[in-house]
Amino acid sequence: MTRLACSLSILLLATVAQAKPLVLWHAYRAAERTALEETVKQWNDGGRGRDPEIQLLAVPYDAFSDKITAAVPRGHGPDLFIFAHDRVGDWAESKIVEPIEFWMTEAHADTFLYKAIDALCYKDSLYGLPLAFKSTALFYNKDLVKTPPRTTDELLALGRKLTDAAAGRYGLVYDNTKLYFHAPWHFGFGGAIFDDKGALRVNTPEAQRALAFARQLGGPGGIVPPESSAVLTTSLFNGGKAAMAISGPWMLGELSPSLKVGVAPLPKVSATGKLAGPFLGAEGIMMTASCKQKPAAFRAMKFLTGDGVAVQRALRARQPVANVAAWKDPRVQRDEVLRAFRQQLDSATVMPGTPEMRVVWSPFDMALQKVVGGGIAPKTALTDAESETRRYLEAARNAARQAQATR
Amino acid sequence: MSQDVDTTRPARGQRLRDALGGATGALLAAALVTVTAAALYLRSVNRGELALAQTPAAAFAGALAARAAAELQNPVEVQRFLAELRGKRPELTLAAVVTEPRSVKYRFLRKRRYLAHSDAARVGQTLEAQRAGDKLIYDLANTVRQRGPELEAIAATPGGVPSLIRAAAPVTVGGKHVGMAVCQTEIAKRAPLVPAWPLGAAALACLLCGLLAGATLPRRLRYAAIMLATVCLALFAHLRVEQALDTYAQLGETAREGLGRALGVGGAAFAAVETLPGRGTLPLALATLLALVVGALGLAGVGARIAGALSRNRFAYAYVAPSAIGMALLVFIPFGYGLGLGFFDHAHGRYTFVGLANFAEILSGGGRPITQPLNFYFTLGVTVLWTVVNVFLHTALGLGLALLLKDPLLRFKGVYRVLLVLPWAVPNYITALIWKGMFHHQYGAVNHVLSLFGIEKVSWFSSFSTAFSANLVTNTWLGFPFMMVVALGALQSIPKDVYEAAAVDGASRWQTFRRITLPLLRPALYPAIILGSIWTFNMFNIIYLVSQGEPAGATDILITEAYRWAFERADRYGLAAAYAAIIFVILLVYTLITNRMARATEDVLE
Repeated sequence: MTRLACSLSILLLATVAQAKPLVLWHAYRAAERTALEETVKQWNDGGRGRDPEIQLLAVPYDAFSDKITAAVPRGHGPDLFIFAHDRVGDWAESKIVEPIEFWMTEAHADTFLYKAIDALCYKDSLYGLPLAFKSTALFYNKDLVKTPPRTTDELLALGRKLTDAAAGRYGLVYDNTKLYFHAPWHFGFGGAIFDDKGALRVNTPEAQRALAFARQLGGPGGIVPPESSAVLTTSLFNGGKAAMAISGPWMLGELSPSLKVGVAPLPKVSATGKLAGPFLGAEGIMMTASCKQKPAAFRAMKFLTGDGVAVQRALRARQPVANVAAWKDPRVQRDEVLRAFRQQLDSATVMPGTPEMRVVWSPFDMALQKVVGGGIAPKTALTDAESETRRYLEAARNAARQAQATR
Repeated sequence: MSQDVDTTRPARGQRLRDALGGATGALLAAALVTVTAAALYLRSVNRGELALAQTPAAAFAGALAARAAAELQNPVEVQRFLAELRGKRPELTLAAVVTEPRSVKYRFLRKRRYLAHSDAARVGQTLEAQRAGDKLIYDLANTVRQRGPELEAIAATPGGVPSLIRAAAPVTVGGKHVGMAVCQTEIAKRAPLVPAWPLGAAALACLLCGLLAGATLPRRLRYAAIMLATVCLALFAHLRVEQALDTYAQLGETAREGLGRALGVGGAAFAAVETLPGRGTLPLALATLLALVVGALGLAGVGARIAGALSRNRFAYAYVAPSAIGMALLVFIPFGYGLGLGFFDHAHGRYTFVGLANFAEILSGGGRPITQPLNFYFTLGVTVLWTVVNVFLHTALGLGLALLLKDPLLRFKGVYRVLLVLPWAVPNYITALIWKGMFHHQYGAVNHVLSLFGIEKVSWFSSFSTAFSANLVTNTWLGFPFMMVVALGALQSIPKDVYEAAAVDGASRWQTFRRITLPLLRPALYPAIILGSIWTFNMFNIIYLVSQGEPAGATDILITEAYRWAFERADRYGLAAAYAAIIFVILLVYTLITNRMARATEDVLE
C-alpha cells in the first residue's frame, strides 16, 4: 500500500510516459545560441535515450523574466528555461521554479564550480544547474596599456596618464552609477549588502570609502568620463577613446575586430589590500513547477550542463562555463580571455538571489548618482539609500505577512 | 403642440410592449448576473483553504510531532504503530521522513530516509528511488522544515473540489530538527440530497422555450417560461454553492476527527481547524445586490425604456456593437482592473486586499520629507511645473509660428510648414533618444555648440534645473507643431473682412491681434491646450528616456514614478495602480474645471 506516494503522484499525472517534447526557453543570441542549438541537437539525436526531445524557443531577453512570471502559473510556460540566478528567490517563493536537489548527489554537484552552483541555491534548495558564470573584469586596449594595473593606485596613476578630457580621451570607462558595476569597489573596500543574519548593511564606513573612490574615479579630474553608461562604455572602448573598461563577457561580442583587447582580473584595492570583488551571476537551466515530465526534464538539464558539452560551449561561444572539468581542457586553458574571467571568479562575490536583493538596486544606484555626479557626501547618500531600501523591505514584508494571514 | 408630443412619444401599445420586454430583459439580466456570481463564488469556494488559527497551530504541531518523535527513536515501535493504524483506518497514511544536513559543502544536499511509512516495505529504505511521489514527500519535508506545520486540502484537478486532506509538521528531538511527520486521508464523499443538474436542465429548457418558440407560443407564455428559467437558474446556482460548502464542512470534519483520532491525540488538537471557503462571499453579495438593483430598475421602467430603445433602434445598436465591445474590452475592463488593483498589495505573485493603504501611503508622502523626490507632493509639484511650462511654450511657439506662416508676403510657405511639422512626424521616443545623446556632457552636440562660444560644458543631468531644462527643450521640440497646426487651421477660418474693418478703423497690429485674432482663436485653442496639457502631464517617454529621472529621481513625473514602483523598485503593482488612479482623478478634475471655463468663455462670446 503506497497510498501516500500513489495519491501524491496522481496529482502529478506525470510519470505516465508522454512523447511530448520538453520545451526550453532561452534568450541566447549569436554564438551562444548556435552552441546551445548544437548541444540540443546532440540530445535529440541520441543523447536522450528514451526521453522526449527538447524543443528550443528563443524569447527576447527584455521580456524574458516577465514572460516566465506570467506564463508559468497559468500553465503556459516552458518545461525548462535558461536565465540568470538573480530571480531565483522570487520565483521560488511564487512557486514558479521547481526545487531539484532531490535528484542531486554530491558527486554531481562537485562537477560544477562551487560559486556557480551555490548561486542557484535559495533557502537550502537548489533551483537550477549552472551553465556559465558571469562577472565583470577589466578589459584593456593592448595598444595603450602594456601591462594591466594590479592595484587601484596603479590604476589611478595609469589612468591619469592616459586621460585627456579636453581631447575626449579617458583612462577608464564603466557604468559608474550602477551598483552592479560599482560592486568590485564596494566589496574590495570591505563593504557588504546584507550581514550574515540577512539584515541590511549598506551604509558602512567601508561602503562610504568605496563610494568616495568611485567619485575619485568619475568626479572632476577623474579618469572616467562623466555620464558614463553601458552604451558609452562600448563605444568609447571600441573607438580607442578609453584605454580600459569594466564590463562582462557579453561585451566580447560587441568589440570591433580590429581592436587588440586584453582581459585581466580587476585590480587589488590598495587601501585594503583586498581584491576587487565584482558581482557573480550564474546562468542556469531551471525547471518550472508546471513541468509535466520532471525526471526526464532533469536528465535533460544534466545533459545540457554536462562536462562534454561545456567544453563545446566554452570554445564555440567563449562562455565562461561552470564545469570544473571544462577548465582542465587544454584548448580552453589556451584562451587568454576565458582564463581572465576564470581568475576573476575567485574574488567575485555571489550576487544574492533573494527577493530582498531586488529592492537594493534602485536606491543604491541613486546614491551613486548623487555621489559620482553630484558630489554629495557618501555618508549622506548612503544614509538615504539605506532608509529607502528599509522602507521597501518593510513594505514587502508587510505584503508577505498579509498574504500569509489570508491563507 | 399635442401633435408634437404624439410623434416623439411611442404609442400606448408600443410602450406596454416596451415595458414587458424591459421586464423580461431585466429578469434575464438578473438571472445572468446571479449565475455568473454563483460560478465565481463556486470557484473561490473550491479554491478555499484550510486555516489553522495562530495559537492552536502550535498545539497541532506539538501533538503530531510528539507522537512522531517518540516513534522516530524506535523504528520497530513505529512499524507496530503503523500496522495497527492500517488495521483501524485503512484510508489513512502516515510517513515520517528524516532530513538532516548531509554535506557541509552544499547547503541543499541532505540525507533523507523514511523512518516510518504505512508502506511496510519502505521503512528504513533510503530515498534514492527516483519517483515522483517520493520527490513530493521530500519537497514537502523541506517546506515544512522552513515554514512550520501545514494543513492542506488537495484537489485532483486544479480548481476542483478537494478530495484529500494532508497534515504535515516538522519533528524536533531534543531541540534539533530531525524530519517531518505527514499524515493524509481521503475525504469521504457524501452524495448530495438533491442533485443540482435537473434544475439546470429545466432552466435551459425553459430558456430555449421562451427565446426560440417565437410566434408559436402566446407572448405571455413565453414571458412565463423565461421567468421560470430565471428562478430555476438561481436555485441551481444556490444548490451548487451549498454543495461546495458542504464538501468543505466535511473536509474540516475529516481533519478534526480523522487526523486527531489517527494520531491518538483526539480531536482536540485539531479543534482549531477551520474551513475557509475562499473569499467568495463578497462577489456573491455584490452580485445579488446588483441583480436586485437591475431587477428593480427593470420593473421601474428604466429597463423598459432601454429595451424599447434597443428594439426600436435595433440596427443602430447593432452597428455600434463592435466598437462598443472593443471599447469595453480594451478600455473599460483594463481601467476597472487597474482601479481595483490599487486596493491590493503584491508579494511573490499573491495579491492581498489592503483597502486604502496604498492611497494613504502615497498621499501621506510615505513618511519622506517633502524635499525628497520620492515624496508624492514633490513629484506632483514637478509634474505641474512640467505641464505648465511646457504647454505655455508649446502654445506661444506654435501660435507665433502660425502667425508668421500666415503672412501673405512669405515665400516657400509649404516648405516651412513641412519642416516645422517634421518634429511631430518622428516617433517621440526616437526624438527623445536623439536629444538624450545631444545633451551628453562630453560628446553631445549641445555642449559642443556651447564650447564654440567659449561657454564651459554643462553637465546637463547632474542638477535639477539643467535636467529639467533638457527635458523641456526636448518636449517643446516635440510639442509645438501640434499647436502650430491647430492655430494655423483656426487662423484660416477667421474671416478677412473683420481685419479689413479693423484696418479701416485704424487699429494697430497689436490691437488687431489682441482684440480679434486671440478671441477668435480661443474656441480652437482651448481644446488643444486641454489635450496638450493632459498629454504633457503623462509624457512618459521624454522623462523616462531623456533625463531618466536624474538627478536621483528629482525630474520624475507622476507617471514615470508609478512605472518605477511597479517595474523597477519592489514589484509594487498595487502602489503603481493607486498612482495611476490618483493621476486619473487629478486629470478628471482638471478637465471638468477647464471645460466649465471654456463653456463660460463661449457664453461670453455668444
